[in-house]
Amino acid sequence: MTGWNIFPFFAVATIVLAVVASVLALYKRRTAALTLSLLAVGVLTLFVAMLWTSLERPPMRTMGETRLWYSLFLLVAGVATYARWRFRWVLSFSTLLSTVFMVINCVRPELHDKTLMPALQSAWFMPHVAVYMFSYALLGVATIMAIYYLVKRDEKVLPAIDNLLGGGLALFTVGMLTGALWAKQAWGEFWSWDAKEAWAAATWFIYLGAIHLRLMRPKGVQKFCILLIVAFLSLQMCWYGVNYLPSAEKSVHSYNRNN
Amino acid sequence: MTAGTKNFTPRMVLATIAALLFGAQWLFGEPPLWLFAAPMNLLAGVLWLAVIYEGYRRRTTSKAVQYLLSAEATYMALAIVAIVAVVLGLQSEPASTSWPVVGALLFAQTVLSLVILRGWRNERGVRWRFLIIHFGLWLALMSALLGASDKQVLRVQVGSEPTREALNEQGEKHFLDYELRLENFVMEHSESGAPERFCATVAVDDKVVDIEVNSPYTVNFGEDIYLVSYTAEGCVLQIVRDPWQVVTTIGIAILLLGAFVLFMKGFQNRER
Repeated sequence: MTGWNIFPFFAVATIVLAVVASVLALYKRRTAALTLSLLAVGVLTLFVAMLWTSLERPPMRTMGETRLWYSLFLLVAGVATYARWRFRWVLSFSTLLSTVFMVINCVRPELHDKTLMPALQSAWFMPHVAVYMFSYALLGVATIMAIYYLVKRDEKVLPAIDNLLGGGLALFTVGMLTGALWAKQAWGEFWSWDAKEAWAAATWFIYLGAIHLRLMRPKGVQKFCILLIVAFLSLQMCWYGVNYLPSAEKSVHSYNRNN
Repeated sequence: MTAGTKNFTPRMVLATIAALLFGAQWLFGEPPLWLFAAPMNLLAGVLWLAVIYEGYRRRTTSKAVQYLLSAEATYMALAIVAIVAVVLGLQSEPASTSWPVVGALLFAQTVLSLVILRGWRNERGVRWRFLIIHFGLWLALMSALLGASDKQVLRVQVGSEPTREALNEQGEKHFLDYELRLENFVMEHSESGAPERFCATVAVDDKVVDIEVNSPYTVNFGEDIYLVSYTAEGCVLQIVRDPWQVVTTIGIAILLLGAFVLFMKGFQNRER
């Protein structure tokens, strides 16, 4: 049986590779870090493939399977961002998050059989969520640097803020659009202004405002940084704040209630 | 012209239009979307684009077009749409087809159209990154705006007897040009009792198909059947007719490509 029982071996191998890669990245050993990261992705992909074969269906039906995809996509997003943008810390971050999900899968095997509700059983689910998580991380770091700029007025952080905003907003857009395509498949509407969708749209347009301000008024750095903070606050509403709004009572995104 | 009047006048015009839109909503309720069902939406769309194009050609003389092409109009459009989104996000019954919302989206789309006309190429050639991102959004938004009037959502209670009777969102009866009959309904539960899989086997006229959550059946071009609920007598199917969905999907695909380009290239290298 090549199922969950052998997962801990793959998890340990993946985590070791990813942790070593993260440390190498911190010490600017870029090629080695990328190679080991890709190996980590490869090992975890191999397990997904084996699980898929042994289950004889796509592994997208249980909580455990969802967490498996999270850990894989987070690693992939980390390598892609590191390969492209060279942030030294990014592999440490993706490794940490990914490890959390792998450890959960190791210590709570009962999740492997806990079935997702039918609405969530979709190939869009994992990329939609994993891409969002990663974009939140990039935009979060951009916000911290924006605050740093407002306090210290240090021009050196601006290129990093630009890159984080570009990458973060690109991933946020992917999360939103995969969500729209999935919504069409699940409910028949691309967009229904459900509370979470509305706040995602608000967040997206505020970030677009920030990018346009940066492009069209390169000197308006202070406004730009303030806008980044406003956008990130809106992002908090979109992420978990909506759960506390009365408008979310009927939300199609409230999966964590009633079941 | 002084800076004061330059900023003041367009804002006053926008504020007046906004007041009129809120007034219209208060006086007449929702805008009459049904008036714009095909072919009226196509006609209105062509007319709108013609006006935009003609306006763009007169950009050197028209103050209105100059404003719409200004940086301020771009910020204004983005801010207005963001505010609309926040308001909709606070409403438990989002008024997404109200006069102010439609007006805000039309304004944003007008600004976007003009900006694309001006910026899609420069003296060094086509600005692909700009064009892909802006045109993808433009196409998705355009199909959503023009297609809204052609969209129909119907619900059918399906049981073992064949039926053609469907209800729209207002509860009005519609008759389908095909018959639906439930052959079989499967509900699988996991060991914990949570529902794991719903599957309705439905005869559409004589063709037998499986319809599941996340797996609708396409009965005609732009017409899909979704499984939404089940009852003691059978199940509830939702029929969504949206002939524009292909255009929306293409717009989303182009915008996804734009997101990929943004991820790879970033935005700080100015092309202009």
